Amino acid sequence: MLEKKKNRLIKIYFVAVIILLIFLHLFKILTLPEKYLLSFFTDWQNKSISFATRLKYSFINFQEAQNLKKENTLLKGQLDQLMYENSQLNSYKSENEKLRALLNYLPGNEFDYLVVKIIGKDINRANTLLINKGSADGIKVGYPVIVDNGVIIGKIIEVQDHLAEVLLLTDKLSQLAISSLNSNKTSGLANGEYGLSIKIDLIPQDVEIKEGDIIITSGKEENIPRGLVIGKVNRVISAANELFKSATINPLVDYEELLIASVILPKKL
Amino acid sequence: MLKYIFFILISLILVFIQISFFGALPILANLNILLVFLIFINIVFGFDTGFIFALLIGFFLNLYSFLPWGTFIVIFLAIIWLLDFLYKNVFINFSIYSNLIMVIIGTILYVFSILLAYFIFYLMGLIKIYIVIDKLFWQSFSYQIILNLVLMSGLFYLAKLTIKRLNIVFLFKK
Repeated sequence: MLEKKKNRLIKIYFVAVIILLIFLHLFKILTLPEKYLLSFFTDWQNKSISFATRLKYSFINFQEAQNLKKENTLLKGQLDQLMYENSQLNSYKSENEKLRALLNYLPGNEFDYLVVKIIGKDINRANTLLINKGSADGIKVGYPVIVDNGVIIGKIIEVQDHLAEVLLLTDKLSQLAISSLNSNKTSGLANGEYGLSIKIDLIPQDVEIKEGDIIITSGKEENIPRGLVIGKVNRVISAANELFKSATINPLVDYEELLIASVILPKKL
Repeated sequence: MLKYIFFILISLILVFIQISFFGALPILANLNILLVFLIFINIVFGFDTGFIFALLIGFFLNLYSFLPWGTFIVIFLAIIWLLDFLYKNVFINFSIYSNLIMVIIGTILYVFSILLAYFIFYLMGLIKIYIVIDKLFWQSFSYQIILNLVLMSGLFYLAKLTIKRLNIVFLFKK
């Protein structure tokens, strides 16, 4: 009997404490302790993701080693072909670097960037990333998130004071106005497909787009500058009796390997 | 007092592992260790302990979520309350199989509660995005059920080695 009473009191005590903490959070009184708690764990979470990614790829690499033994003879025969493709890729790389310099993906002095760490994923939503900065650092919903030298991976979809969520471009609900590198017009709308690839819809029939074209942001959306690279066209789907054609894009980076990113912020005047 | 500090640390570490470790692994990202742990604690140590862990895990999970504060607490409490009711009134034979059924029921309840919560809060304008029910959702849901069952089985076999009273779960004759 006494034990039951004691348990009931403990439960009431815990519920009261939790409700108090929720109220303190809603009235922004707990902002500083939350900030310190989240920042205390950020490095460990980032290391945890890095470890998990290495673990994943060590397992994949072991399996690949087994397969490569069997394919050894075939690979030797393909070596010449690979050398030719390598030389082609080197020339594309050189062209890519020149084009990036020309694009100047942070046009003028309109934008700044904030380096963020990836600390995890939303437990209930695939194709999202959690980053360690939030509204207190100037991040707002809709800001683009990039990696490397201007490859866009997604947009900020939710923000708290010291935490934000990035929706990757491969998510079905992700939408981005795009254009081809060779065009100044908005060529279509990029939507994610099953967390694996990106599909461009609503490309007018008169817009020229072909396999291998580099797709960039059109700059027509607020806070998203023109020239952020999305990927390369993999396939174009066109029918003569349709008003629009569509295409699929392969992202240039592996979204599963990301540990650091940058959020593009409009520069304060 | 020390016991509750231990509970807080365990809850924090589990949330940390769920978000920052399993989140980065393929397929295993669908494993819900928090839910399985809650159900396990509820079954083995009783509703009182499960209640406290539901509060703590729900609270810490809300730190890394954009749903209104208290959502996870309410969902986890509702799930363990319902499972405790089923455990005491329906699945009274305490076998490993009935417990695995509880994991299936718990997972279904959790997934559809979260789905409903996202829809309602999206319609109210409190969040910017909802969960799409497509092929990927059903695939993820299937993986979650399978992985949760595997984890629960593993936990029970481990617990059997350490907690004597759990021998009844396997209906073994002593």
